[in-house]
Amino acid sequence: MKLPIVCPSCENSLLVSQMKCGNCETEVNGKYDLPFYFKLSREEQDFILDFFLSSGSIKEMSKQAGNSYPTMRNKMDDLIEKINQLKNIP
Amino acid sequence: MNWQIIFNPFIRFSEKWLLTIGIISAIAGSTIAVYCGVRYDGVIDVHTFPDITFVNSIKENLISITLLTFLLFVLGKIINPKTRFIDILNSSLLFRIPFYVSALLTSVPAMKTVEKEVLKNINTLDKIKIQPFDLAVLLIISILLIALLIYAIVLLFQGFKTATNAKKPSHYISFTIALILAEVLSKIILSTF
Repeated sequence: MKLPIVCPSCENSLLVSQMKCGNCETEVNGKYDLPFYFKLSREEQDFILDFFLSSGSIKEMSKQAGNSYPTMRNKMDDLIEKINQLKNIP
Repeated sequence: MNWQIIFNPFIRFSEKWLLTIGIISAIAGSTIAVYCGVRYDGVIDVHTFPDITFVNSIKENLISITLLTFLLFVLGKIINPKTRFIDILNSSLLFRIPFYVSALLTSVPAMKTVEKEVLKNINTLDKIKIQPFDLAVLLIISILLIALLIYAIVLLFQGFKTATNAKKPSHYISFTIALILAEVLSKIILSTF
């Protein structure tokens, strides 16, 4: 099941308000920020995972995706820019 | 039909593949120029010139490609320091392909007939007599030539955009200025040939 990261009503970022132990059913309630990685779209998360799995080689990633090197590098640069913007949001 | 491959092959294909296609097409383009009697006397020019030699055609092609690559590479580095030379070179090489097709179109018999008629009456243009069929062919080829010019610029723009990750209007304006500058400089350099 896909984890929702934005509010379906107002499109603001969602917070984690409850976590539950799958074993003893203990529940933890609070107001926690979503981990950084989960604030990205599924496609962006997959991109980061692919980058990690290809040992950080954009060239290797572009071969696997059937795209050219600059196309993948541009995707990477756009993602870096997005992450930097997210980091600057308090 | 995959339009992305036609209008932006730079997204999909590797630099080696694009470079191979670009070099082969440049050699083929110079051969076409000799066969059809045209010269590429500018970055965006194809003009009738029956006495062109293969060596001169290669030189002209090389000057246009080098000039365009140099200007766009400098601009690319300003826009994005990660810009690679090979990507800009491939954009310039592929940009030329529609001009080689344009050279082929100029050798259509109807075009030659019209050309002879115009040259014969160059001082008395009111005496020019063009058959309706030749006129229709001339019109169709003119439209095709304009379409090829637009296609060439689209190819160059897409190649540049992919190579530099250009997104801002100022980048696009700079690209236009660089292309115009390349055309002016190439006309000056190639006029000495």
